[in-house]
Amino acid sequence: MTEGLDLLDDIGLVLSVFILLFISYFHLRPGEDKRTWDRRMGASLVIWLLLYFVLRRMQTLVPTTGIDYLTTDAMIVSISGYASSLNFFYTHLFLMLLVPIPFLRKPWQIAVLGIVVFVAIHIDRTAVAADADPFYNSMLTYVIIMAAVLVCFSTGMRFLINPPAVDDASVEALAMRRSGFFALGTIAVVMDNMIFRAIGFLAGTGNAWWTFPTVNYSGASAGYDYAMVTLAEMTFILGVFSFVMIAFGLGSVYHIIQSIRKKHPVSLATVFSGYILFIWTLIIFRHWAYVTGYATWDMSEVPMDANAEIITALSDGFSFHLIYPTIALLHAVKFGLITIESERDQKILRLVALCVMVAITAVFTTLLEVIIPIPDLVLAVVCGLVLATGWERHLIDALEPDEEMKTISWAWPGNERAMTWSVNLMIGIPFVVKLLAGVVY
Amino acid sequence: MRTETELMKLKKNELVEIAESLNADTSGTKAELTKRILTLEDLPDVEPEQDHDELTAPKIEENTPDAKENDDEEMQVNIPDHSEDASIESTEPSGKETIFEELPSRWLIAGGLRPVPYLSTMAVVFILMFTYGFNDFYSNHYSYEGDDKEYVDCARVTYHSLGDGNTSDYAPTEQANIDCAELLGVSPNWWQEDMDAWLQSMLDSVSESGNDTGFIWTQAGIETMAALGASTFNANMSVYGDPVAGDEFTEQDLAIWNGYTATFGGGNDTIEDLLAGGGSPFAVYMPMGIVDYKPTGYLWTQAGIDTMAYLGSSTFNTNMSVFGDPSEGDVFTAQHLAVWNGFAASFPGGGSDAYEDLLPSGGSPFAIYMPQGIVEHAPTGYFWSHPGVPTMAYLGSTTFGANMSVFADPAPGDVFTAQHLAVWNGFTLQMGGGNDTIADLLPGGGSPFSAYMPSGIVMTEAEWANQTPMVSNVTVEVNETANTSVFSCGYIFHDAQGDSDNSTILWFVNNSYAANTSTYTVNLTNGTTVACMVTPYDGLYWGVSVESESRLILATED
Repeated sequence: MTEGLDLLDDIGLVLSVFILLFISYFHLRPGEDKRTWDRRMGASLVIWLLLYFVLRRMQTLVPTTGIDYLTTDAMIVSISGYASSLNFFYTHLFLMLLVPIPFLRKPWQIAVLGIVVFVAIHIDRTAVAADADPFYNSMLTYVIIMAAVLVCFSTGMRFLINPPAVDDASVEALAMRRSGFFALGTIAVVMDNMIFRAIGFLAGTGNAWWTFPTVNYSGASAGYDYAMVTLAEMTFILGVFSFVMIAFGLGSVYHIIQSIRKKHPVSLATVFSGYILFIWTLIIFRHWAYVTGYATWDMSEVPMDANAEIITALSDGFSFHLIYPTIALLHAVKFGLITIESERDQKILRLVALCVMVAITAVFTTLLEVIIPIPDLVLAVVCGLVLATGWERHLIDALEPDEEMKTISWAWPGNERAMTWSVNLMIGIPFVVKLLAGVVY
Repeated sequence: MRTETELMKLKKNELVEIAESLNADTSGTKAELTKRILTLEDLPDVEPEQDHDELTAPKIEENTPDAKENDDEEMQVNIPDHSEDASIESTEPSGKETIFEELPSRWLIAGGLRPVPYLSTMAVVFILMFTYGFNDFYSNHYSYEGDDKEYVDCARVTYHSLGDGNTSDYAPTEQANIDCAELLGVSPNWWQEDMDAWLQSMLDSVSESGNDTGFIWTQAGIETMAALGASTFNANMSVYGDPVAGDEFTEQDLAIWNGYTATFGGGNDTIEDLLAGGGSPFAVYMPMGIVDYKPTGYLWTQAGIDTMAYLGSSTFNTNMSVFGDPSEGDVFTAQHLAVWNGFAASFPGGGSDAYEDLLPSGGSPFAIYMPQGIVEHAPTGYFWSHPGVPTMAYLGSTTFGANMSVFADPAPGDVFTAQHLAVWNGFTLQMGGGNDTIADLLPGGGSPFSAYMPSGIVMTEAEWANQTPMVSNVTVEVNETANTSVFSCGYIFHDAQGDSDNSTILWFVNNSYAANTSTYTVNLTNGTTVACMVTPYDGLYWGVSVESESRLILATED
């Protein structure tokens, strides 16, 4: 059974690499680049995000690309750890706070955020070091990123329940539409599998409160004061996940009802609403499986039985391997982060859309085969029918950006070049360090 | 005069031509070229009327399909109706873009046109959720009678620090631990007490296995008991059911023994007391003991004992007394296995090991911590032979439909165990066999299948030893005349069959491995020691390795 599920790793990696190459080509191709700073920056951030996904998957599938913790000098391991954290947190924070309409508007704000994140990483790592005294579970960096999620969430939620009128072309409406659309896309891209703890947070069950990283062992290892620090941090983190998912769930239902009543336009927000309701189905199912004992996970969310393996594949696996890379593609094309103009560009996009369709069918059939033993021949026929009937056209149509998304933007209040280089270096240097440490050691 | 808009509508090469005509730099984007040309022509950047017209132009017009199909370098203006707002300015650096110079407020982005009620509502809901979550967890895990902080801090001291034997801070007699234990209402020595109770319960559960005691009568034991019965207890062996050597020594047998000895000051012996050197008050009358451990086919190895002792001290918090302090070659009994599984059950995947899982490279989840295994096969007097392994593999693939994994993939020289024999007889049962002894599998043995295995499957220990080469007089020799010291390893090779010498040589410098060549060439510093080790090999059988005395390199040898 696990052999089939293991295939998801390979499919997800290939899909991520393919989409990464596609976006990178359009982002880096030579010639006159007419894109505004936010599109260039957005494309860079999506590329960094995909690189993060790909490297993480590679280091799992091919251990030689990851650092050998047993034999490598502790200093190198530490540097690699810092680099990995910086790469992850900077990418996600800038994706939420910098584009398309920045919340960070001055160079010093970016620098301060960078320093604060570094200090938080240092505190987190120091607290759980082997010789730490006090030894406690510090999650400051996650708190920072969840605070940024709240900002992104309020932008997306505002748009979901109260979008500007379609024919309203005021600058306020333009700003709210562009930031709202982008926030919804960003939320979908950066979602973590901790969304599956949304119910557990309120129910007080172990799948939320006693599953890493939100495990409060600080009372046992460092006493009451540190237990309170950890409890506050983990409550904030779990609370944001729960709050965001519940709010988006309700907002999605409201939006769909309003769309049916023709009071909200059918748009990307409608697709997002459908996606959120689908995710909620998985959240409810996974929580039910946990509390009833239908499936068992350990404290690190590692499946302990066959049912848990399937449910993990349906929830985590499905999201990580298929949804996130696909939404990253949608994000890049739909918001004009990369420019698809010429006939040749369209052909490349069609090729990518076909590959995504192949991956979608591969993931679905892999999961289906695990749950229901269907003969390969039947699956092949189904896949053939899906791919032969031009479904990729629907995907291409869905990717087609609105004119407004391609033409409206806001200037960066300062030196665009310096800002984009700084941000790319802040993310890129840790990535390269992590990659080299993994390959060399 | 040309306006910026007019210039932007031109192709880039046209702009380059104009720039050339003005002796201007022709590099850069269209926007840069346009600005350069405008500057040189001394034209205003933007014509006010023109700009106003564009700013107020309806959006629908700029988004027509025709506009889309235009050359992408052509200027298309896409300006909203409300851009007359004084706070907003826009520029058009490229054909399609509308870029607002002033960023909208963060409140507008995050909260819309009415941010205060929206964001306030969100904040209140989130704060309520946070408070609920915090209080729920706190009340379940940190709320106690009295001072919560004092209680939690004391729990850390007693359960996870001074009072916890699994930590390096373990010091149950320290005052802080005693005070905290009193507050918590537990013994300061709770960890040791729990551990003792657990060990005892485990040993008790292992012992109470009815008549499957894990002990057997020995021949010497039967003779001793018969003599004691005749001379002292006035009973013959029929009271024990006339056992023969190898029969189970049951709990009933023990009860009978204790019944007889009760009137002589005994009556409380355990079966272990009846082992040779056991604690029975009658031990002096039975120096060979009465019982022995029931063979399991597995013996303790020295590496296994060392490994188990290390695991006990580092992981299981116990010593080897729980295994009865075994020595190398002792039977690894069913009780030993039960004790091991009792310990291992505390860890994921542990607690269900079979004997063979404790062999080197066995299937125990702890195999990584015991690379040399814990046990070895007990000798049966027979080894798998060199021709036996491929013969069995051939028979398996052609006749029995099985591969060598059913025999745990043996190599020549491995013990041919009773279990191997049982597997063999199981296969051959359907073909008229099934009753072979191990001796039947020798070359020319009595197996009904001997015609299919003319070289046999097994070899006796004696024959194996006869076939195995030996080396003696292993010494390090050095060529004194060469500029560079060349060391060679001298030894005498013995092989009963006169086979050729294919022995391997390993070199050790200062007791560390240095090379595996026949000679060793190096300039060594004064005070270094050199030694070689020879492993005899005749092309088929490996003998026992012999190491030379270490040779100390002195200044005169440099």
